Amino acid sequence: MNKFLILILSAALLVPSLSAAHPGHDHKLMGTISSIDKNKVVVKTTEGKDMTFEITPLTAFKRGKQKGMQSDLKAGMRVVVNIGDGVEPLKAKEVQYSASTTTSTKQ
Amino acid sequence: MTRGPAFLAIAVKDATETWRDGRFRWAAGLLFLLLVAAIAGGAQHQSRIAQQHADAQAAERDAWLDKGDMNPHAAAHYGAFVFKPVQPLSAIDPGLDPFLGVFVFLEAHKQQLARHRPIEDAAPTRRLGLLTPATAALVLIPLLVVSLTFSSFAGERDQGTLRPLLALGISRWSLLVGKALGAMLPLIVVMIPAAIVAAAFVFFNRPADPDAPIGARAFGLLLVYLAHALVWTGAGLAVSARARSQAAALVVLLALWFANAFVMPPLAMAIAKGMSPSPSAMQFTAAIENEKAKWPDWDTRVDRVMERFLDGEFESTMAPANVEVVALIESEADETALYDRHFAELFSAYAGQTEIYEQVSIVSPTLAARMLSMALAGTDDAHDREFAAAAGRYRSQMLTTLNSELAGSGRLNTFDYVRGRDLWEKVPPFDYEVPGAAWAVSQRLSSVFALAGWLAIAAVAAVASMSSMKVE
Repeated sequence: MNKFLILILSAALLVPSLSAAHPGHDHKLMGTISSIDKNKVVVKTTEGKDMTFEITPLTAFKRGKQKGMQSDLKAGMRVVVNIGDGVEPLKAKEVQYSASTTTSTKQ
Repeated sequence: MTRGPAFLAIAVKDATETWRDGRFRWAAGLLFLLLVAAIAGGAQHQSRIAQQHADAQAAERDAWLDKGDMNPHAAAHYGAFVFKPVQPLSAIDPGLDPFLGVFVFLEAHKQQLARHRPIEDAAPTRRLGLLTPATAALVLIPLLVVSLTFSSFAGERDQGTLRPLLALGISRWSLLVGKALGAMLPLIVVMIPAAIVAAAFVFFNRPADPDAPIGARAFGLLLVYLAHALVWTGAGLAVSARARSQAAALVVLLALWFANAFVMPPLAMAIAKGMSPSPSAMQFTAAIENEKAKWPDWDTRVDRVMERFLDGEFESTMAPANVEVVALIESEADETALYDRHFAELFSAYAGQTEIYEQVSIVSPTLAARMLSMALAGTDDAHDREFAAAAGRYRSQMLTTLNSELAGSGRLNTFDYVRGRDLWEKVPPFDYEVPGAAWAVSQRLSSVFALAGWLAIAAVAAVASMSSMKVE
């Protein structure tokens, strides 16, 4: 077989080894808090879906760059939630929100 | 004697004498054989390469569709190969094809230059013995023209037959036309059969794409080679009329031929590279990598998307809820813009070199004819850039299809999101349509004007030299 064809086919076979796409990252969703019921928080995502996640004793809170508290969370507040591997039921590893804005009226 | 019969009689006499000369028959026969061998070799090579490309493209498409289930972004990393179609007329003029990559690997985050130059696959002996039909037409035919025209007037003068010829009442105009036709007729004996053989070879060696429009391009090639031969005919007659002897005419014409065939091409390229330098492959890659090195890393990019969201961006909603997907789409857009800019700069440098090369053709008709020959054969740098641009657009389309699927999946865990053949089929096969002959010529207008200018100059020079010719 011609060298050229061998080169192409070899390259095609090697390429799948590169196919892992950015593995090992936790998943973070962006949304606005719709409601809070004790440790269950409902978030309306930027895609318009309602997602519920649970706050556990291990959940960390971040207000801007500073440490935050669960009691800071309010309906209408924009949050970014680290949901780990994203497997249901969703459990928050970290909830991040803005230091300056406590609630959002834009969404 | 009337004007018509006079120039015709002169033409027939000269052509007959030339044809009776065994040295001419040998030279013409040898040139014809060389042309046929070059055409046959070129057509066979082109046909084999075209088949290889078609086979490889088909195998690549199968590999793309049958790669199994995987994440859409992983599929973007899996990538795809697209192949530059082999032009049917590259059998006549392979142009820059041996020195340019034949396929591009399209993948996420990175845009690549075409890879695998055919010259890398060539045996060393092929480099020594490479004779293309275009080279034969642009280098060897002018040599034959020189041999046919150098003695047209100088030979008559040397033999003392010029004065008696004019004394018979033959006008100088008739003499010029007769001598020109007398030189062209034996040439036509070589060119017409060679053109017929070339057409037959190209026709029977059509590549994988039988619909490739080659009629206008082939006719254009014939016109270019004919115009180039006419320029040399005019130059040969002009020099022969002005030279003191046929030996002097031969020396001058051979010097002009040598300069055009062997000195001007490398000289023009050196001037072009000096005036419009282009980066080496390593410099090109390093410039991109240096710029990318200044970009924020992945985690910073993700953090910035979060900060922007918390600061009130994405208020229209319907942006992917997954921060990483937003970061991924944005980084892909930044990378595409970066590569587009660097590729545009690189191709602009190449285009600048070609422009200078074309400008040098003002002093060399062979350079102008060579540029037009490559353009019409579809093997010049303009065609290569057009293919690279099409490959870039296809890459963008492929990534948009795959990333949009990821973004629209609605999945939080997009990295575990897996799709299969139905999505891969949404990325259509690469179907590159080669631009037509009019586009090819429009890219080389300077060469068109240069060759037309040389044709006019050669005609004027022949007439002027004839008018002021000394008869003894």
